Amino acid sequence: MRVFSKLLIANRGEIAVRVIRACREMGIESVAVYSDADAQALHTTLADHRVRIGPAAAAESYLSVEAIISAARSSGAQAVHPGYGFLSENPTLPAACEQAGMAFIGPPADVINSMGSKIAARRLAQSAGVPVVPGETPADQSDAAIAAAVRRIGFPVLLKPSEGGGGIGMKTIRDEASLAGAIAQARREATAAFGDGTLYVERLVEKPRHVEFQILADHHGHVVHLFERECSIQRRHQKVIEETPSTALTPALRQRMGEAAVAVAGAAGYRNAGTVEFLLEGTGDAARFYFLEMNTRLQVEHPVTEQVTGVDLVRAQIGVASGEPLPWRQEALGQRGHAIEARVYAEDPARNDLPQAGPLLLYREPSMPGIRVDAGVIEGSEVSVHYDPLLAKLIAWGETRDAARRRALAALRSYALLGIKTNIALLIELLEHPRFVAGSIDTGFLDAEGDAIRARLSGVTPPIIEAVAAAARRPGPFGPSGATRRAGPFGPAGTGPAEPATTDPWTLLRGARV
Amino acid sequence: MARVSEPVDNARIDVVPLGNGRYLVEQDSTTRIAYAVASGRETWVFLNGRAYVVASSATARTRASASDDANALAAPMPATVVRIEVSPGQTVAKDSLLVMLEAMKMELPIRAPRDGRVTAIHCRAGEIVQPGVPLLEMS
Repeated sequence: MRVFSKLLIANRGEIAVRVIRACREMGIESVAVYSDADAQALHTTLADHRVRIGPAAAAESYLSVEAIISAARSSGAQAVHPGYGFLSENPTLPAACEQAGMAFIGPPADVINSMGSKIAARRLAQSAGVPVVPGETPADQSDAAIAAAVRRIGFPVLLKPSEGGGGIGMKTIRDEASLAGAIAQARREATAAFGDGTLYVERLVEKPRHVEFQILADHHGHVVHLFERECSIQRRHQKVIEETPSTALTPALRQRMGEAAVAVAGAAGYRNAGTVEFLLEGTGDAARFYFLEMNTRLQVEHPVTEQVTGVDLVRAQIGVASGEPLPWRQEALGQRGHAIEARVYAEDPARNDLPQAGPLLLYREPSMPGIRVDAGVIEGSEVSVHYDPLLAKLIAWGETRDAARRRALAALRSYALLGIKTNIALLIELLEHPRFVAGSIDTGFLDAEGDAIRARLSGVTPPIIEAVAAAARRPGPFGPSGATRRAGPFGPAGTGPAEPATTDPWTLLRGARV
Repeated sequence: MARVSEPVDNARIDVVPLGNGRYLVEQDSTTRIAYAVASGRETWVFLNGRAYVVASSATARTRASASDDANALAAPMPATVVRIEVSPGQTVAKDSLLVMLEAMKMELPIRAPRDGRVTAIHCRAGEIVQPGVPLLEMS
């Protein structure tokens, strides 16, 4: 057991803030690292100590193992939490931490290494008896042998050029009748595109859902799972809305998948928090699931798991890294109610989700029953072009899925955020979409419905908005507008509420029309 | 309460400033809280989950055509100039690529808003440019 008194967070934004808060609760001093672009960022100002690690470019700051280790050394931190993204899945950081005599809050370097290779991870899952998407490159590449492989794997299948990528030359085969023609065509296209006609045969997973299982493993051989998260609402592989429980899982399927996740973690010699991702085909007891990959870090969407299990995952991570045994057995863990997370991005849905940068002129987080906001910004924050556009995560909990969904909607409708464009209106449309309401979603949902949803976001500015804008521009007792931009010594154009000199409303109203 | 009535399209909308960017909005005996901030020539307004950017009417009217061009030829956000595809005097067709910018690891093409001729270039490769400032001029 090593007790940490000082912990360095090798990250920025909302996840750095999340870890700093956990440290504060646990009585651990926190050390923030920051680039020149983040000198006044929320995470930098919230920690007990701060260390500059380089210029704005991530490669020279948040992605520099050398800069992180040097900051940890100079600040006297005994542990490093990597957050997600940046160096969190780079095995050089845990290796460097070990060399420097510091604890890395995550799995050992060799586990990160083996899970970082898709082929090695797939073999590991198979060795643990966990299904992977069936596929093979037949050694005998004759038409008859390919056809035999297709029948072995079962329809529908995908034929892929073994040397290929990017979907070029892929053929879907649904039945025996089209088999011979498709093999010949796939071979021709593979040869033309890659100069090699070798074919890979893979089972086609139709309308897959992305369902992942949270696991925790301690240093005493004890592994538990903390149930699933459904992350099927995504675009370009970026998740937008996540929830737990998944509407596709039955208790029996949940138990099978949970056991599979624990088996993968056990086979890998896993330590700390991790996530086993599955593709799920179908729903209910008859559904089939396939191991996809394992993420060797805390996930962005970890709060939904925290809300329904009551487990603080960051505190558990720090406890495990300090050598504590996990305090619960699998049977003691359960799911209570339903949680939905909506990711608030600085991007413009009307312009192809173009990332946005600028000052947060006004920022008011909702506060109401069942709502949690994990944010990396506050009013006056400057959102820069250098990093991920995720501003905050709004997590709603309710006794039922519909209660959580309605709470998320009510909270998003009162989440006032001005100065940069965000996807809040898009999130509202998603949560109100009949397919989301019905829980009938798959990973193709946003691709299929996105354009129709976006079309509803444009439109003329209603008169009521013009009226508020006119009032905001009118000089009055509250200033030219409720909040005015101000350039001051404390940063570029932060916001300053135009505080009246006196606070007596009746004095202030003199001269206004009553 | 101090009410500021805004006669818009014959509908009576009452707006009461509450301070600190908050406004009580009343229409047809229904009240809502809105938020607004004026910033330069724009006013940002938030109501019921939606944010709007309202241009002040005077500038919107007088600068309509000039600002269409200026908007199209300016960076949409702080960005780095990756390369410039045209030179002064060059004739360009609508939608042809003029300047390639990069921000947040995304390429942002600046394309010609219409057929015309490039008369001046105000940026160079590698430069960090701010939104709203035209990168080049067209006639």
